[in-house]
Amino acid sequence: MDILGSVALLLAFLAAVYAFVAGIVGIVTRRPLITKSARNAGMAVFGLVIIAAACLEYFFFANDFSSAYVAEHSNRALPAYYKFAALWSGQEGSLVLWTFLLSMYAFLVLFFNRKKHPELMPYVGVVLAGTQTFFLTLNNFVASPFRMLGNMDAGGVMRLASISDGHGLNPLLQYPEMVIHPPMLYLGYTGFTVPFAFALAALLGRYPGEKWIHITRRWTMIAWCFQSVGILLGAHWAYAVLGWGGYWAWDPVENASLLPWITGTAFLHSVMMQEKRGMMKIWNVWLVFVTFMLCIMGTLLTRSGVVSSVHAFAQSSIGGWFVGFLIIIFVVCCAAYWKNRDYLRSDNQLDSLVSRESSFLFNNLVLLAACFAVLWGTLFPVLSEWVQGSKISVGPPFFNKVNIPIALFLLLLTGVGPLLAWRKTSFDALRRNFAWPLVGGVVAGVVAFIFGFRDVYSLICMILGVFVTLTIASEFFRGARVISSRDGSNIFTAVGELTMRNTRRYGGYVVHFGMVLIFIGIAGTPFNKDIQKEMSIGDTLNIGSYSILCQNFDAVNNDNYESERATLEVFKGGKSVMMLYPERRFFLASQVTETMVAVQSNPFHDLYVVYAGRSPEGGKPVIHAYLLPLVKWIWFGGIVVVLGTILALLPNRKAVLVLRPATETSWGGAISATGSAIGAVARRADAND
Amino acid sequence: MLVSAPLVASLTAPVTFAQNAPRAKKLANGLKCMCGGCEDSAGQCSHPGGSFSGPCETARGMQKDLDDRVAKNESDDAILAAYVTQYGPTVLVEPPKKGFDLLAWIMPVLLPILALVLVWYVVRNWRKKAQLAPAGGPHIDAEFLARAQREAKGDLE
Repeated sequence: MDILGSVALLLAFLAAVYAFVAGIVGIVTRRPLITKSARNAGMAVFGLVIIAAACLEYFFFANDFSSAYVAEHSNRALPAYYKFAALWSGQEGSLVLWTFLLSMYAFLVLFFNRKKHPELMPYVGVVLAGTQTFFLTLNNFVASPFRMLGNMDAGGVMRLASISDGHGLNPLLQYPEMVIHPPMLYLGYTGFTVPFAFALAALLGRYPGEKWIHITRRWTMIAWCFQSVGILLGAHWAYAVLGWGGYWAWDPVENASLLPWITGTAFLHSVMMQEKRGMMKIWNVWLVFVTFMLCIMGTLLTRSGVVSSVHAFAQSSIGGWFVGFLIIIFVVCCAAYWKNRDYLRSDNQLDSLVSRESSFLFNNLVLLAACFAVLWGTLFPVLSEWVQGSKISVGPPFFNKVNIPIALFLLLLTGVGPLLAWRKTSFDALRRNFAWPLVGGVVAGVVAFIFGFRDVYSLICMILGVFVTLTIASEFFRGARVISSRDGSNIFTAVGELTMRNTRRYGGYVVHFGMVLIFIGIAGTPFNKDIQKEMSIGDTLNIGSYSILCQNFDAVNNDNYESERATLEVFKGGKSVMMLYPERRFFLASQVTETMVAVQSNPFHDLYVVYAGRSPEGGKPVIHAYLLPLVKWIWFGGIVVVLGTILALLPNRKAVLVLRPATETSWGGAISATGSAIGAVARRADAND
Repeated sequence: MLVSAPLVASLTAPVTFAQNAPRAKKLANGLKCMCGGCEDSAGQCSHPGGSFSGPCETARGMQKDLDDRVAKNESDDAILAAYVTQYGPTVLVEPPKKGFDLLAWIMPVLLPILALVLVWYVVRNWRKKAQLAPAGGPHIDAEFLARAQREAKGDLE
């Protein structure tokens, strides 16, 4: 099976190289047959990588520990779903996952566009094949997942090692979210290859118009959505597993996932400038280039060990390859831009500073400022060490101080931008659109202050959150009222109709609302409370309005781990309201202990309880309880963001035929009905954002 | 009174440990746990994967030392300087605001301001050009354009 997997990976590499070379030859010689064969080779890569990934999975499920990768990342007692996910728990396997997802995107792009855009697709195929070639080079020659362990027998013959059990999967990864978090994040990272390929192809081929933007809009949104889900799942995993009561530590690897998300967000906004007004063409092309380069740089940070990170499980000396690839991408992008820069000239100019265009400019500026601040803080320790010779730390306080004001300004723009008109917005329109949301925001601020919000950033966040929510609601309401008065439908039906007529616009508003919810969730952080106490059976711990009574400690063991579990009864106002069971699990294969946090969540706060273990001093069990306000809003906001993105991906409801029913059976009625039918109104979808 | 410090300080790490003085706690939050096995601050160490999910031995030692130093009325600067002498500047959770490391703080503010100036300049130019004449596009072969338009039409149908 290792030979089959290795051969499949090697053939995939050769197919990718062929797709790359033949693609270039096809473009230069203008011979369609060569171009077609290059495309078919590009699609074949996916099939071959599927075979390789299936072989690796087979090793995991067959408990074949003669495979070095399986011996290192699995063991017999590991549950089946974690065996499946163990494929991407280490360097070699996670690179296979990357190649698999990249090949899947490449296959879908090449297959669905096989009869479209004949001038553009050969270039797209070459860029995709070039990227695949790089990752397959790593899979085959740098970090092969099919390295086998061997023993020399008595006769001096090398045989496959016979190992009874493996080292097991890193316990931190033995959590349901870890089964889906990496694939989601990788679907984001690899997904940004598609807009990159189209942008570079359009530039190289001087493809006229904004076609590449139209083609890649959905691909970009899909990649962005996966990236968002991946980031949030990672945050939730950190919250639920690490037992520290937080969800974001500004770890370099977390930051690496955030960087392309930020530039991707900027692109999704600025792209509208090009679609509507033919502006910011250079900017958009470079935003896509930078987003892709940040994806590669994120992978470099995760795997190279160039910066200190808790994500140490995937580090190696592979960084040099990624640096080389980054340099190649940068040189190619610069050369393509320099050669064809006249192709990117703007069609229109800015008419007014108070306009949708300028709001997009500011939006992009602020997003890029946030991106730079995160990147700068992440890489500054390396820079400082290089210049001064001594390493410094750039921890969470730095990132919070720098990024919170930027994020709040961005939240403000989320409310302001969509209400400004294209080209120019009059003062009257400004007053009409913003008066009530502003009043609502101020009232919310006063109420929040009265209820104890004494942190200035949290208070601003609440004010802006309500302001943005009201601007979004007013947008829905104004549009729905027009439809309602025309059709006589009720306002809720009209909201649905309005949304489906312009899914992109109103889906975007839903995404904005999801972001507001996330911001509000974050605004609760300064009001966190926690208490840590040594507890014996019968002892009580008080936090907020809760009393936690320790009822029991017991053991819950299985083949994979031995667990010590606390049984806690939670009282509120003297009444028993819930039972909580925080655990500590000792994983037998890896000999590592991890916490399993017990969380009781409601919209107001999370009661988050950790069984921290035996006190190093007294040997008594220690319970650490946290009361964390508004955390649930973050996860709920994430769901709303995903739903909004899905909504924005749906096609617009285009034309609706309205037939007035005949009310009379007389000739007059028949004539009237015929007239109605002839004069039926096909209502066009409102295509204007 | 409104304060901004709590959100900044606690956005990511609300863990605290029962130290004697609030000043010692604040100092512990500004120093990195130097155990080498985690990236937490000494005041907020929860040491994932450790035998005890609370402050590890190193963090507890640092917390106790800070308690003692605060009890002896040592100033914040003196305490931090002592730690920097012992471990180097990496013991501070954020870059020092002096020398080369000051750049860490300046650049995230300076660069957006420069970018803002650039955007203002670009916008002003755009507006000037808009008043003068409409901008033209690059020369594209008519036959190629017609073909692309036919394709575009086909895709939309």
